[in-house]
Amino acid sequence: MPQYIFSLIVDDEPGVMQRVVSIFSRRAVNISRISVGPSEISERTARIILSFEADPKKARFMRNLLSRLIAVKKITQLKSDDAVIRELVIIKLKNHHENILEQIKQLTRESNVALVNYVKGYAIEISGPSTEIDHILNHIDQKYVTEIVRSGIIALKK
Amino acid sequence: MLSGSEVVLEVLKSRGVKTVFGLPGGAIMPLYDELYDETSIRHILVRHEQAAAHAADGYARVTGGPGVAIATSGPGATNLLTGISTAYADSSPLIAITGQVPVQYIGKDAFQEADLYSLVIPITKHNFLVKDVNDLARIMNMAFDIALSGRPGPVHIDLPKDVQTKKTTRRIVFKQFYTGKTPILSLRKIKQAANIIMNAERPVILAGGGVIISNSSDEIRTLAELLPAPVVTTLMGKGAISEYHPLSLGMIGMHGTKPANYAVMESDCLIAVGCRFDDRATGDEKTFASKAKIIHIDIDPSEIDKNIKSHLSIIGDAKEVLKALIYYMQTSGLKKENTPWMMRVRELIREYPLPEPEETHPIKPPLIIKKMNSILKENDIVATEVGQCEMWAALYYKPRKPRTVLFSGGQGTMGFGLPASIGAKTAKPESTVVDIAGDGSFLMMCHELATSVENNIPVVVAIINNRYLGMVRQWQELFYEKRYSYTFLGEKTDFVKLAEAFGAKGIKVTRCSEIEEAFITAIRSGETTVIDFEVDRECNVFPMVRPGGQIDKMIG
Ligand SMILES: Cc1ncc(C[n+]2csc(CCOP(=O)(O)OP(=O)(O)O)c2C)c(N)n1
Repeated sequence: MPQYIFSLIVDDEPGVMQRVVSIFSRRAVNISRISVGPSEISERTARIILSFEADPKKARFMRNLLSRLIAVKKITQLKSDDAVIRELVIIKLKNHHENILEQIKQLTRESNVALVNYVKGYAIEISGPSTEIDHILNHIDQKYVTEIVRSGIIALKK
Repeated sequence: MLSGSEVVLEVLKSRGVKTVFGLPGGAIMPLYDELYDETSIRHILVRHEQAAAHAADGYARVTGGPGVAIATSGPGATNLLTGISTAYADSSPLIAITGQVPVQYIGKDAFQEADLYSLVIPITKHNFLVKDVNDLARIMNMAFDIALSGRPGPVHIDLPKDVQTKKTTRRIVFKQFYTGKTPILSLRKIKQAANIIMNAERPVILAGGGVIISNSSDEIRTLAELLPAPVVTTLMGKGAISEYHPLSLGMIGMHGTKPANYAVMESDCLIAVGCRFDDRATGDEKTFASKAKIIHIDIDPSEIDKNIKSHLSIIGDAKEVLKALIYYMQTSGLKKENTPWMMRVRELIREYPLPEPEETHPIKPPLIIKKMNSILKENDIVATEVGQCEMWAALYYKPRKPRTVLFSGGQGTMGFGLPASIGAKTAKPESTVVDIAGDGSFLMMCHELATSVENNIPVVVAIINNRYLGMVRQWQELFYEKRYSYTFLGEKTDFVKLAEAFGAKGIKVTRCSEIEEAFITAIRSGETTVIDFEVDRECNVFPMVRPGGQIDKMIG
């Protein structure tokens, strides 16, 4: 099933996530990634970026249902060919192992993933499109890793 | 400066609210204290909060304006939920105001605290928790704007006790805060639709509840006569056209009329206005109107292609869309013709009339409803409970005007009819209001007789007393080998005595010859009256389509 990404501008108030999420849960649609942050539009609004898998008809239905919410001010659908889509990952290292660093550096050079930070001996931060991040995480040696935290995606239209 | 309670009342008054329905308790006492001195708002004290919601809903349905229900926090508020959900399913502009524990106690499991904010999210158009009295005027005004705009729906306001007593520090302003997300009418689509309709040979108009809500009955009739095309309705659309009009075929669906269901199935162009293609209306969605190009007109984009795929959809207010369609078709020289389709429609009406109830003993329920048609006048109002009683009403009662028949369509809430009747009678005191009830449904809200009697809001309750949860029994008979599992209600309940205990009149009717007289006595008395019609206990509602069946394959 195709993957959909919606960027929503919502009223920044308690319960707004519940309103948005319940639209999906009531129709048994799983939100695969979601992130929220303040929006630049005004102090009173926030931006939610969420992605889910659905057939096109269901996706249209979800969009229409979201548009009915009073707290949702704007909905933009983002497509991978005309949007910058990023996920941030923090990889926590086991026993200060640094062996993995070279490996990740190599993998990032071959992809669109950026090594954004290295906290010496403790953690590596990378950022990039989710699929390419998946690729990197599949290739690094798990024995050097204790924990991996992924941010959900943020995205904007080009 | 005003207190929170004063702000609430000021906004209600500025919005033209004359009547509210409710029942007080600890967390809403400051507002009730303010109501005590308020002379321009009538408060109807109910006996159960669910009835306050249904009554406000009934009030809203007959007026088109908002209906207001008030309850206390915790159990008072949760008692409203069924009523709010009923209003939501039928797009009724209900404003529900509940008390809440003081702001500093919220979330600490204080006495009579319930998380209404979360509980109502899925059953309201929008909801608010007021934490600052300075926000109250804006929130109250928004609540009205939201409830009434676009596709209407209930709005809930949770009002902590301390917010009711605190004084505002800012001057309150009264204005419209929310204008709704108004769709822009697509003229291109109007033209496309008009061309499909004008080229159709067998057009049918399907009028849903949206026609009633948008007050577009006149446009429906004009369009029907212009084409010409027969008009069928959904349950919520009943009243969209006078059922005495020669183009009216009645309701479609599981318990629709044969002419209506056949016309939809034979149609090559179905103009569906303000309806959501509920499964009870469409039966098997794959075969529903399968020969027709479906043009779906609705103000809510999420209804488009939700249940039935349309060939063309027009998003907008039904009245404006219909006006534009009519204008376009008139100016492009559409000629009214006596088409073969009209001959077929007349044939359908002639060949498939409803089963004629005979004057037998015991009474056949449809006879009661048939007789009501000549007793009630065009402005009188019928509300129903749920079950067989409701479907007999839908089949046999022929409304002449919109907003004169009230059903709990989307939820099918037993107990809706009596409180909704009370709400309707409050709004339209000059109309006779009759609740067509099953004995099972009536008992769910029978205590509201007290509300009706004590507040002098006389309504007539016509109980189709079959001593069964009849509709469930009918399904057990047809689909569960007559295994009547817990549907017999016993026969000890004496509805005449029950009525009298509440100070209402009770009339028992066992013979066909007494039906008319009972209604006339009840209506003339000007008192709340319960008529207990002892009827054929195992009478079934026919015609009927099996659940999920094709709607022209009807039993009975
Ligand atoms: C609150 C509620 N509970 C249960 C039902 C399920 N139900 C639908 S019809 C029906 C029977 C109604 O019996 P009655 O009111 O006596 O009317 P009748 O069908 O006999 O006319 C029931 C139990 C319902 N619709 N609403």
